[in-house]
Order: sequence, then C-alpha cells, then structure tokens
Amino acid sequence: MAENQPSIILVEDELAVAKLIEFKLKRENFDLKHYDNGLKGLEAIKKYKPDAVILDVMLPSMNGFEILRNIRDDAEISETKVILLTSKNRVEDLKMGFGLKADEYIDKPFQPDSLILRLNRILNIN
Amino acid sequence: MLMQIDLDISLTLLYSSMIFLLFLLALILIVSLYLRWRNQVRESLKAALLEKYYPLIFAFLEDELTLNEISDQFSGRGFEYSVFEKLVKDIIDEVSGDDKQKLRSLLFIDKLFSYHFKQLNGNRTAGLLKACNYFSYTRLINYKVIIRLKELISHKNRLVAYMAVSALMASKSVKNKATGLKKIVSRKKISDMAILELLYEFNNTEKNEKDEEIKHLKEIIEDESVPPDNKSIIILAVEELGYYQLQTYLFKLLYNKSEYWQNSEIKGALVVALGKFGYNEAAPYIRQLVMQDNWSLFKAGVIALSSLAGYENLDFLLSQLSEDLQKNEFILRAVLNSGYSQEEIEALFVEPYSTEYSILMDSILQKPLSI
Amino acid sequence: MSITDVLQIIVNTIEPYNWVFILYFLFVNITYIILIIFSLIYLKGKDDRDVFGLTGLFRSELYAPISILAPAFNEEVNVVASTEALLQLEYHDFEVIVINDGSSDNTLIKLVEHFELYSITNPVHLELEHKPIRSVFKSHRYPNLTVVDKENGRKADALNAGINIASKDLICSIDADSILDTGVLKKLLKAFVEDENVVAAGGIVRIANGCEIENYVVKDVGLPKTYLGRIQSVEYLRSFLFGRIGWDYFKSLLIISGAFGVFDRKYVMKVGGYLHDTVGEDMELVVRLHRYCRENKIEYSIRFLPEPVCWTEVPEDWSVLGRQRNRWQRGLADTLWRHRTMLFNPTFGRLAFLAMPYFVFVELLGPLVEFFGFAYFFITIILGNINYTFAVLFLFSAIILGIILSVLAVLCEEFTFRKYPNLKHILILSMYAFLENIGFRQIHTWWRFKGLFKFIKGDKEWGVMSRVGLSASDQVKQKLSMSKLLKNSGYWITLAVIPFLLFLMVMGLFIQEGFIKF
Repeated sequence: MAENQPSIILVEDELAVAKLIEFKLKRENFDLKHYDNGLKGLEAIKKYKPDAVILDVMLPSMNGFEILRNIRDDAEISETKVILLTSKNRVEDLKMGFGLKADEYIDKPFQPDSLILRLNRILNIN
Repeated sequence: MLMQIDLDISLTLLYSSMIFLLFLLALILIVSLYLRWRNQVRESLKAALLEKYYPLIFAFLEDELTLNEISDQFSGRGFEYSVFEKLVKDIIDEVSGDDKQKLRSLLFIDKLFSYHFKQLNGNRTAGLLKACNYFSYTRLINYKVIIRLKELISHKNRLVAYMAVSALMASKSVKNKATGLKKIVSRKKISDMAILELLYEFNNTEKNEKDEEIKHLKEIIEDESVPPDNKSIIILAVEELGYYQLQTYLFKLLYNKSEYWQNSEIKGALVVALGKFGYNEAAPYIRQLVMQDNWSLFKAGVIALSSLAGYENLDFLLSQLSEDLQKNEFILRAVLNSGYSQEEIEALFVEPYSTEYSILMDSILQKPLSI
Repeated sequence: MSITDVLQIIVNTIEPYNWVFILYFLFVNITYIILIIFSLIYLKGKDDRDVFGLTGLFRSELYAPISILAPAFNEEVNVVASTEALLQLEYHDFEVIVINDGSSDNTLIKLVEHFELYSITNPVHLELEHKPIRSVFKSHRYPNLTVVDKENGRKADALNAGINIASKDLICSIDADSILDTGVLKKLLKAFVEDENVVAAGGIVRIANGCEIENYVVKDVGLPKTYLGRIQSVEYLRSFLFGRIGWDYFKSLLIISGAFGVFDRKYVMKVGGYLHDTVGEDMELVVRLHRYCRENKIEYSIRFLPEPVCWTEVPEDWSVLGRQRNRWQRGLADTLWRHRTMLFNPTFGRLAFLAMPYFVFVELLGPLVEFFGFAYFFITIILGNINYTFAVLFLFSAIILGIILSVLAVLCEEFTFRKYPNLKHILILSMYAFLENIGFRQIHTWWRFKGLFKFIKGDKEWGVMSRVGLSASDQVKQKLSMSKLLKNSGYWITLAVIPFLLFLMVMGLFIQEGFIKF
C-alpha cells in the first residue's frame, strides 16, 4: 500500500490550516510533507519531486506565485500538479494563477473535503 | 559647594544610595529573569495545550468526539480557554461550509460562555475586550449580557465601548442594536472607522428589517447631541448602505436653520448623500451652495452635482470654471468621474477649449477623485 | 605659567558651579525614573493584543486606509526585494509608493523590469513643493504599486512627492532599509480606530543586525554580534520602551522615528509636509504637527505604539555611528531652535513645561554638561586635589543608576511583542547595559558635544551620509585605510582607558584610606 501513496508537499505558513490539511490528507492515505516557508518549500519540491503541491500564496521568503513559476520553469518538475490555496481571490490573482498554469485554484476560506476531491481529480484517483 | 557644606553627610548619603542602588539592581535582575522564566513556562504550556487541542478539534470534526467530551478536557483556567478559542478561530477563518458551522459550535461550550460572562462583569480591560469579542463572535447574547454591554458603552476606554457596541450588534433585536449605536455616536472622539464598522453591522442584510432600522436611524440623525463629525459620517454611510427611503427626510434637514444643521461638515455630508442618492429635487439648492464662497461646501456641492449628472448640472458645473485652478481641477475631476468622456465634456464647453484645460484634463484623467 | 596653573584656574572657575552638575544629575535621573514608572504601568495593562477584529469597514469605500511611502536612493541591490516585501504585508487594502529620488544607479530600471511598470501622465497642481517629478509608473503585476521617479532632493523631498501622489487617508513613511513585520498595518490602524483625533503614530524600531532575515522578513530574532551592535540594542530598547512609551503616556511624544511612522495625510498637507532644509526632518514634522494643532486649538493626539515592529540595520562601525549621532544631535538642535517659542509658552500646555524642557536641557544640552563634568573630574584627578571617597562613590552611583535604567529597559522588553528568545540574550544585554556606561557613554557624549558645537557654528551641510538618512550610503563598505584604522583604535583605546582610570581611582581611594600601603 505504502508505494501507492501519492506524495504531496504542502507549503503553508498558517499552522492551523496546515494541521487541518495534514489531518485530513493523512486519513485519505496521502503522504504529506509540510513546509511553512516559500524557499524551503521549493527546495523540497525539487528534491522530492512530489505528485502534487498545495501552495499558499502569501508566504514568507517566496510567494506561491513565484514558487509556481519556478516549478513550471524547471524541466524536471514542470509536470507537477499544483493547487493554489489562497485568500488572494481577486480576479487579477486568479488570472495570475492560471496564467502560471496552476491546475486548481481554491479560495480561502475553503472546504477541506472539496480540497481532497480536487486533489483526487487532478491525480486521477477515483 | 556641596563638598564644602559637610563632607561627612554627603559621603554617608552617597554610601547609602550606592548600596540602595546595588540592591535595586539585583532586584531588577532577579525580576527580569523570573519574568523571562515564567514566560517560557507559559510558552511551553501553550505549545503543549495546542498539541492537545488540535487532535481533539479534528476528531470532533469527524464526529469522533462530542462537545461534552471536549468540554471535560478543560480544567477551568482562563489560559486554556484563550488558547483553545484562538485556535478554533484560526481554523474557522480558513474553512467554509459545514466544517465552519461545526467549528463554531465548539465556541458555544458552556464553560467558555460562563468564563467570558465572568470576565464581562469584571474590571480588567483586556478581559472586557476579550469577552466582548467572544459575544460578538458567537452571537450568544442573552438579556443579562445585553444589560452589561449597554453599561460598557459609557466605559472610559473607547475601545471597550466600541467593542461592547460591536457585540450588541450580534443581538437579534433592532432596538438593542440601535440603543448601542445611539449611545456611542454621541460620544466624542469616536473614529469614522469605528462608526462605519458599526453601521455596517447594524445594517442587517439577511433579514428584512429596513423599516425599523430606518426609524432608528432617523432618530440618530435627528439627535443634535451627536458631534458634527460623527453625524456627517453617519449621513454618508446611510447613503452608501442604500437607505434611499431617507432621502426626502435628509433633504428637509438642509432647510433647518439652527446652528447645528448649518455646520458645513454636516451640510456637506447631506448634500453629498443626496447627490449620490440621485435626488434631483435637491439640485437647485446645491447649485446655490456651489456658488457660495465656502470651500468644503463647494467640494460637497460639486461631488453631489456630478453624481446627479444630467446635462443641466454638468453644464452648470462647467460654467463655474474660473480663475481658481484648484476649483477648476476639482470640477473637472468630478465631471470626469461621473462617467463623461473627455470629448463629451469638451463638447459641453461654451467657450473655446483652451490648451491650459487640456493639460489639466490630461493629468486629471490619471488620478481618481477623492474627497 | 605651567599647565598645572592653567588647569587650576579652570578648576577654580568651575568650582563654585559644581552644584550644577549634581542638580543636573538629579534632574535627569528623576525624569528617567518617572518615565520608566509610567512606561511599566502602561505596558503592564497591555494584554489585549489579539482581540481586535474589523469586518464591516472593509465593505465601505468611505475610508481609504493607508499608503506606504518608501524613498529609494541608489538602492539597486535591494529595491526589488524590499518592495516585494512591502507588497506582501497583511492588509486588505493599501498602496505602496516607491519614490526613486534621482538615483544615479539602476534603481529605476530594476523596478521597471521586475514590476513590469508602465508610465502614466504626470500629475499637476501638487500641493506640497518638491523637486520635479520626471514620471509616475504603475505596475502590471501589482495594481497597488506606484513608482515615482523624481529629481534628486533628500529624503524629506522624496517623501513630500510621495505624499502628493498618495491616494489614501493615512501615509506611512519608512526608510529604504526598514523591514516591517507582516502584521504591522493592522496594529497601526488600531490606534486610528480607537481615537479619531490621532494625527500621527510611531511604532517601535528594533535592530535587525543579528536577526535571521529572509527576503526582508525577520524570521528569528537574535542579538547583534558586535560590541557596537549590542550597545545599540540596549540603547534602542531604552529609548523606545520608556523614552517613547513614557512620553506617550504624558501625551507629549515629540519624536516619531523616520524609519517608521504613520501620519494623517490631511494634517501633513495642512502643515506643509516635510521640511527640506533640516537634518532632522522626522522630529521636526512631529513637533510642527504638535505646534499646529495647539496653535489652532485642534484636539489631537500623537501616539507611540509598542506593538507594531519595524526592523532596521544599524551601523556597526565607529565612524559611521559617530557621524550618525552627530547628525541626530544637529537635527535635534535644529528642530528645537526652530520651535523655541514653544518652550515655557502656556499655549502649548504640558509640551511647554514637560517635553520641551526635557529635550532642551537633557537631550540637547546634556552633552555640554556631561562633557564639562567629565573634564572637570579628570582635571581634578590630574591635579591630585580630590576627595577620592566622594569621587568614587559618586561615580559608581552614577554608573549603577545608568545600569539600572538600561536593565529596566531590558525588563520592559518582556512586555513587548517580539522578544529576544533566550535567557542568554537577557544576560548578554544586561552585561552590555553595564558596559555601555563605562566608555561608550563618554564617547557618545563627545559625539553629541561635537554635533552641538557644529550646529552652533552654523554648519548645516548634510554630508554624503545624510542624503537618505541611515541607509545605503551609510552601509557602503569603506576602504580600510590607515587613518580609519587609527581612528577606530582610538575609540577602542578610549574604551580601555576609562575603566583603567576608574581602577586607578579605586586604588587611590584604597591608598587614601590606608587599605594598601607601599
């Protein structure tokens, strides 16, 4: 079973949200690593090459858009699925997110269960 | 001189003060080390509590724990409650849907309520503020809470007063909300931001209680004990919130001759509100006002007329262009702001359109109008 | 006539007035103690940090909160990162205005490229005067970013341009190298919601040296590594925590740091913005606001808030620090001189009888008294006609009092928002609070004395250093020249000599008392 666990990296500086997502995803058998800092998150993404990444936008040291840009520019990880999870929900932000080819854009406040559904969808898990 | 008076006395004095100071120094060092230590204990306690509460809350979300079981985890110390409450609120802020409702119910735990009720009846400012915050957040206000909140509106700390009214706004009765509002707006030094915030809470968008709200708003507007600066922001907010039923009433107030209603701040606010409401009957009166030599009424009048728009009003505004560049800039900005394009305005010019205006116009196009 | 005779004459001249030193000493310390007591009272009652929430306001367009004004002069290295950091602050609605003050490097180009700037037409009829604006830019990437490119003036000039362009009700002026905590705007706004008469508010400025910083965000609080950095940590804590909190309590705050202050734009406009021809434009503006409101009988308040934190890099080099303190002293002198009518003038209420006298007699003239005091002291030692017991006791009391004041500041730190995390830090700070009084304090007095003297001479040049306040140009690594090395060792020698002199005096005392016999 363990090999089949999809690996996820969550970059989120808000501890409460991170804990919640961690709790929910672990239940659904995802393998989750959490980072609370943009640069460290990006490093980890490059190192572990996860199946999917959940990104907050407002982050210390490097924001989510920049991380996404870096992911898409790096041939080795450019295919990683990315979900942006953010309270920045003006249309411009949305444009920016999709412009950078985010796979999903989830507004905060969000429903944890819908995050899981979307994650399953982009990872083709039924 | 001092040396000459009596060396011995001054020496004794110095000796004792030095010993005293050394003693004091030692004391302060001990106190600061103690405080630091206490703080660290608190921090680690907090971390331990968080580690305990996270799984509890999540288990509750998955229906594995009941409210009572969670309630049993508290030993009754205030610190526990504030850590728990902060944590729940942090999560609530980030989630929506069913989970949000469920999390909210965590705040309704009896122990939390009675803890805050006790705080609300105490004297500590921080406790009062936290309690007000709790009641406004949970909307758990019974008549006992309401009585105390009403008392707190006269509290000498304005922040407490503001938070108390904010909590009252969670009440289901328009009358309670209005009482709070009335009391606080007649206090001096209440900021525009605070009043706006409260009015937005007063305006209930879910239930239709417009008639009753309007009745109370009228009373507040009528009340001459409300300081003019508070009154003007209320009038402007009434328009922004869309209480259009009040427009005729506001218009009549323009004709009130008493000193209070002739105050240019209040009058300006009335005029702007009427303009933004689109109350055309006021146009002739406002045009008169623009021609008077009062800068703040001029500004209000121009904004009002440009909001009313219509050929007649705009034509009038353009006819007011004069030697005064500051006034001209203001007029042109306002007119442009009302949705007319540069060409349309140029067409309205009676006199030939000079280069001076075109420079002015170019610059104005870049910056939005602000009052 | 020998040197001894000259010295004797000096001593004889000063002698009848030596009670001035004692009185001054008492006056200063009593003032400090009063300030501390009130600061502690104030800080103790402050445990309501987390209880402020605003929601409805965000729906209204009747109040437009805050414009951050960041002047930049030759900041090509940092400007992009620092601006990005400002744009990441937590707040629902604010604008950032970066003012390129005629930089001669690539500051503007860097901004244009990174933020995808496009030019909009220049505004006309600006209320405040400043050097001409070349162009104004908006960003394709951040709708709330504006960049103003203007001809070189000074920081004050750049800020005035920014105030003109700002479209919000409050302006927040910062230094190019200020690092703001992300939650800072909300905390500042609290002061303005609480009281509608607030016309200005300053936050606490803390030392960034030694902290762990990532892209202009302070991650971990730490102590500076160097002697000068640590001494300044103690100084800043003392000056902000009870200097300003105490004055805030008395509603007489005269200084808001140029590194971080928020003003009601309307009032800044009314008093005519920042002054161009002073080295202390930040203090001058605050004093002018006080003066304007008092003269026009406007109810107002100017606040200091200990919660919003701004971090700043301080110089860790003797000569740069010396020039900075020299400049501060001149700025202070200039402001007080301009507004001298406020001193003991009943129109200005408690300002005239509390804050102004304090600043004139303690902050401004203090170095003078201290300088002559030290000089007198050393001359009497040289002449040998001194009562060692008296001198030693007096000196030690003075030093211990100084230490107590500094340690109290370290104690106050307990109550603030972002603390030094370790017990070790507190011990180190306490030790430096002790060290500060022996050596550094005397050197500091000398710098301030020189600044005061320079002001009296009418020397108003800014020097290269003062163009943008304490920022880029101050930090530029200077070449390690022989003369600089000499100068620095001069400072270190002074630091060593002063404790040595103290030691000699104690020995002298022992000999006099007969504890030690040859």
